[in-house]
Amino acid sequence: MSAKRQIRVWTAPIILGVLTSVGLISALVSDDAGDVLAWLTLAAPVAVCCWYAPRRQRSES
Amino acid sequence: MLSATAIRRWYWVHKWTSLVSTLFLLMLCITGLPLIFYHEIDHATGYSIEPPELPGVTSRANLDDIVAAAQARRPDDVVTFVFRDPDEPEAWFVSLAETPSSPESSAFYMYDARTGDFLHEYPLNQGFMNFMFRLHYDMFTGLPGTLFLGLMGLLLAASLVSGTVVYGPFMRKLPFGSVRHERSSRIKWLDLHNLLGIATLMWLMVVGVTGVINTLAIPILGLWQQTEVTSMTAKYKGQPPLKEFSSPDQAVATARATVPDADLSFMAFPGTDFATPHHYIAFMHGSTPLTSKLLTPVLIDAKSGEMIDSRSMPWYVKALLVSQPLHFGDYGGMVLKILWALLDILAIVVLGSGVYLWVKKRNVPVEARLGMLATEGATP
Repeated sequence: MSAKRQIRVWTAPIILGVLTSVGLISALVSDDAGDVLAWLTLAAPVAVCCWYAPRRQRSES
Repeated sequence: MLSATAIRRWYWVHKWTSLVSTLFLLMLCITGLPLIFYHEIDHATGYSIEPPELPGVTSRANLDDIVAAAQARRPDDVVTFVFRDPDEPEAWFVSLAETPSSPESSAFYMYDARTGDFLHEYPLNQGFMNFMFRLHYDMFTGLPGTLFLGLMGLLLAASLVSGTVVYGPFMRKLPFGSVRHERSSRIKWLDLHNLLGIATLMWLMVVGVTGVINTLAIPILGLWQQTEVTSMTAKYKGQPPLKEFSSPDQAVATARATVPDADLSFMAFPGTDFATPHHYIAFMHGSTPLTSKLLTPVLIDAKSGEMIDSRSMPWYVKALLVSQPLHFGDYGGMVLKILWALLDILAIVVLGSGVYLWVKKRNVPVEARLGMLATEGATP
């Protein structure tokens, strides 16, 4: 796999992983703002699943 | 880049760690779903109640009276613990058991912290939620069942790591999030398995690993007892067990004075697994979001009522205490619980689709699959 292709494959998973980690930790260390940040960031993986799962494949670039 | 051999080996790891653990992980995800809302369901079904509103009542009941009243309800049993709940500051909870070291409680009472009135008896070992909890916790088999489920959690971690490694080669020809609905049912479900699996990866890993740490709660607390508590109470060794205990109300007051900016989480009575034969141990939680999850033990001589020692918990107990909210999802309000439930449902789909894919194509080698998928993925 070329470096460019590696980047294309892994960008979204890495972003989702970082967002999830930020959310899991923020609610633990801070109550009000931390909770809201956790809701927003942990909604990201759920939203991604709901957005892509029912969609037909876009044409290959 | 991974060689074909490496991909095949990682795929083998993914397949077998998943196959061995899937049934148990499915059970854990399904039973875990209602457990996220344990508190709300208990209140809705009347298993738990709220203390009554008493405007203007600022009195504080004496804990000694509450403990005596609880004892009088079951004269043959012993009081084992008293608990506080930060969400119910007007309540004291008292548990009793047949003997101090009984593994199961015989009663769990709720008292009004203002008036000392008896409010409620929590029904133990019955009901739908208790059934879900026992399946999730130890499958009704005690510590061996808990440790076995911990092993399944380790297999989940291995399955997630290996699944992530093989995600790369499977996705090299596809944009992120591709779901080929127009292809065969198997390819559509492979795409969904990949999408949902990679999206929930970090959450599943954290819930899985913290679940494994939780399965070690009994060994971890046993280790703390045998090292830290034993060294703090060495001079009491060999003394006869106490017949009467000093005032629990005083013990709580002493503990509060010992640890500033902290409040009682629970206090173990002498002879229980969380205390010693000669001491109360009060477990205090802090007041900041993070320190409220941690506990500081205060040892109190149950004869003289004096404070003996208070040391912060070792790292392995802290790791256990922090891993509990991260597993339960109960630390960020109702919205976090709902997200926890949605992520759990996605995890159930990942597990189910994994089984489906294995049933459908268990005889096709991974190289053939990758080659075939690459061709199919390249078509517009």
